[in-house]
Amino acid sequence: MLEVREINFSYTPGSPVLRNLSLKVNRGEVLAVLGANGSGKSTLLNLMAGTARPQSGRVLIGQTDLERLSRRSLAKRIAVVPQSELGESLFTVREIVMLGRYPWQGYLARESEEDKAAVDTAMSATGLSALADRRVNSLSGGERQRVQMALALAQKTPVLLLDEPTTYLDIKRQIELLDLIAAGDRGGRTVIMIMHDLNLAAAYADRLALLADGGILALGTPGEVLTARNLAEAFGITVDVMHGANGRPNVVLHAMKRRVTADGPLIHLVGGGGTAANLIPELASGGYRVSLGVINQGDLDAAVADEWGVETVLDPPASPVSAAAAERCLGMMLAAEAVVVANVPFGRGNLDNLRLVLRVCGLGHKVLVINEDAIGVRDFAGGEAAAIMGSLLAAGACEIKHWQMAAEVLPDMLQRPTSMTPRSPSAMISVPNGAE
Amino acid sequence: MRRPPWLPMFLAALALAGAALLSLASGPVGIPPGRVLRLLCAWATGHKESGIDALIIVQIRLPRIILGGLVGAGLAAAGTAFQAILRNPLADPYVIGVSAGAGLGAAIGISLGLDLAFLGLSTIPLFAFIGALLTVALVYSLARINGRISMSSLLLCGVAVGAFLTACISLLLVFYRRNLDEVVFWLMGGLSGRGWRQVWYTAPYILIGLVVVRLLARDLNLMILGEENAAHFGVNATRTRNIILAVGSLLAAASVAASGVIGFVGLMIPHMSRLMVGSDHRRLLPFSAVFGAAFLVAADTIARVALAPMDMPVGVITALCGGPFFLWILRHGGRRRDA
Repeated sequence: MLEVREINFSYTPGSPVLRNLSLKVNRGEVLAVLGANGSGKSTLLNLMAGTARPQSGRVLIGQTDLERLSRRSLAKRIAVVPQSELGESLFTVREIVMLGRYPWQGYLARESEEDKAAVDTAMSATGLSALADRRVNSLSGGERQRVQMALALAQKTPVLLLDEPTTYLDIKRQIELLDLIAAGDRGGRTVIMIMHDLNLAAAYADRLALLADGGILALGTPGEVLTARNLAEAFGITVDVMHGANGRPNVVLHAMKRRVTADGPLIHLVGGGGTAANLIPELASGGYRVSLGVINQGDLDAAVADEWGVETVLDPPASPVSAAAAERCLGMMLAAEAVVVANVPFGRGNLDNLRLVLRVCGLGHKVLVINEDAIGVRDFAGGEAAAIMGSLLAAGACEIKHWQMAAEVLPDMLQRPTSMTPRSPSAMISVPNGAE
Repeated sequence: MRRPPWLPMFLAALALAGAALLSLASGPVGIPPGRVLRLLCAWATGHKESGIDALIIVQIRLPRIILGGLVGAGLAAAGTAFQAILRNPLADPYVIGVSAGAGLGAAIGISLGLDLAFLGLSTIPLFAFIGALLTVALVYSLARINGRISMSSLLLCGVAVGAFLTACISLLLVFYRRNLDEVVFWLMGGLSGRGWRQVWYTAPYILIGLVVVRLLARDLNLMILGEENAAHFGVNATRTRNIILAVGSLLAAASVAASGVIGFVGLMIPHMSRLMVGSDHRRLLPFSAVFGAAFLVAADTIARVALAPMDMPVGVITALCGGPFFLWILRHGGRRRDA
C-alpha cells in the first residue's frame, strides 16, 4: 500500500536523519513505528505524508510516487493526525470536522450529502456526536484529540498516519482510541502510527518497526521485535519481556535509574556483549553490590551497568584488555566475595578476563561460571578459552546452566567456608603479564 | 435554542443600511430620512432631481458613504485574512506594517506629483499597492529565519518596519514641504472631501480583493489549523499564504490610498465578527466585510456630526468608539458563546 524505498534524508547536509531506509506497509495492516527520540520516526512519518521530500529514494502509494501527486489528491489518499494541537478557533465541532472534507470539495461547492454522511460517521465513531455544536476551544484536551481523529476519519482515506495519537490521553482513552483506529473493522484502512508505549504498540499493531540511528533495527511481529536485546539497543534500557495472555509480548520496564544502595556481599561480574545485561539487575536488585569488568566502552553491558550504578572497568571500544585495566580488574576480583562469569564468548581480546578469573580462583576465591552455551561454541581463541574453563572447573568453580539460577546458588556459595586451597599449579600459569 | 445561520448576516446588512441612511440624513443640513429615501429612489431611477438637497445627498454624502463602506469592508476583510494565515489575533494591515508601506508609496506618488490618470484609474492606489507589497515582501523575508517563519518575529518585524516607514514618510514631508498639507491631511485618515472620483478608483481594487479572499475561504479555514496541518488536508499552504499576503496588501493599499491610514478596523472588526459568527471564513469574511463597512460608515457619520462644522479624522472615531466596544465584546461575548 505504502512503500518507502531506500530513502535518505537530512535536514542539514552531513547529518543524515534517515539512512537508506526501506519499508513496505501492506494494505489493511496496522504498523507501529517505535524508536528513541531522534531516531527519525517523525521524519519518516513526514516523508510518508508527503510533507517532506527525501533527498534520494522514493515513497510510493500503490504504484504512484508521492511526488507526482498534487497536495489535494494526496490528501484523498493519506490522512495525517499530527502531534501538534489544533490551535485556537471558534469553529464548532461539526464545522471543524467538515474541514476534513476539503480535498473532496470544490472551491465554492456546497456540502454534499456524502460530505455530511462522512462527517456524521466520523463524529459518531469518535463519540463526538453529542458535542457537534460545541465550540472547539471549550473542549477538553482529550476531546480535542478525538476531534483531530474525526477530522482524519472524515477525510476517508485508505491510509491513516498518526504521530503519537495517545499522547494527551489517559489510559482508558488511549485504549478507546486505539480500539477505534487499530482494532476490529477498519474498512480495509492501512494504519501507520508512531508510538511510545511499547505494550500498547504490541497489543494493537500487526507489525512493529523499531528505528534506531535513522535505520530500521527490527521489523516484524511484536514478538519478533520486542526483545530485550532490541530494546536495549534502540533505547538503552533494560526490560523483561513476558508473554501476555493475548499471545503478544508484554514489556516490563526496569523503570528507574536505581543506584545500588545494597550493602550485601560484593560480586564481580565478567560480562560483555550483553551477557551480563540480565545479571546486573538481577543481582543488584537482590541486594548484592556488583562490579563489572573488563569490558569495552559502548558495550551494552556497560550501559546497563551505568544505569545500575555498577562500578565498571572499561577499555576503549573494540580494543583488547589493557594491562592497566587488567590490574584494576584483578583488584576488584580480589575485593569481591565471589566472581561470576557470564555466558561470554571469549576471543583473543577478552581472554585475559578469563585468565584473571583463573588466577583468583587459584587463590581460593569463589567462582561461579554460567555456561548456558557450551564453552566450545563460545571459544574464538583457538581452544584457549575452553582450556582455561576446564582449569577453572577443575579448580573448584561452580557451574550453572542458566543465569536465572545465579541468585539461588550464590547464597549457598557465599556461606561455604573458603576451604579451597590453591592447588593445581596450572592455575598460576596463565596470568596476564600486566597484572603482575 | 439555535439561531438561524442567516441571522447575523441579516443584522449586519440591516446595520449597514441603517448607518448609511442615518449618515445621509445627518449633517450640517438636516434632511429627514423619508426625504432622503425619496431622493435616492429618484436618483436611482434616473430622474434628475434638482435642488440643493439632492446635490448634497448625491454629490457629497453618498460617495463619501460608499467610499467609507468600501474602505471598512476592505480593511476588515484584509484583517480577517491576515489573522487566519498568520494564526495571530494581533495581525492586521496596520500592525504588520502594510499600511505604513502603502502610506509611503502613496506619499511618494503625491510628493512627486505623479497622480496621473491611467486607464481611468488613479495611479495613487497603484503607488500605495506597490508600497504595501514591497513592505510585505520585506517584512516577510526579514522574519524568515532558516527557512521558517515564526509568527512572533513576523509581527515584530512588521512593527519595526512600520515604524521605519512612518519615519520615512515624515522625512519625505520635510523635503517636499509644499505638499505638507495635502499629505498630512490625507495621512490622518479621513473621508472628508472624497467624492465619486475616489469611489471609482477604489472600488475595483476592493471588490476584486474581496472576491479573491472569499474564494480562498475554505483554504483559510484550514490555515488556522497551521500550515503543516493545512497541507495534510490538501491545501497548498505556501501558495495560499502568498496570495493572501498579496491580496490583503491590495485591500489595505486601496483603503489607504482612498482614506489614509485608518487603524483598528482591521484588527477589531474580524475579532468581533468571529465572536458573532464563528471561525468559518465562508461566513466570517462576508460578515466582517459588511460589519466593517457599517462600522466605518457609522464612525464617519459621528466624525462629521460630533464637532460640526469641524470634520474629525475618522481614524480618531474608530479608535475612540471601537476600543471600549471591543473590550466589552471580548469580556461578555466570550462568556456567552458556549452557554
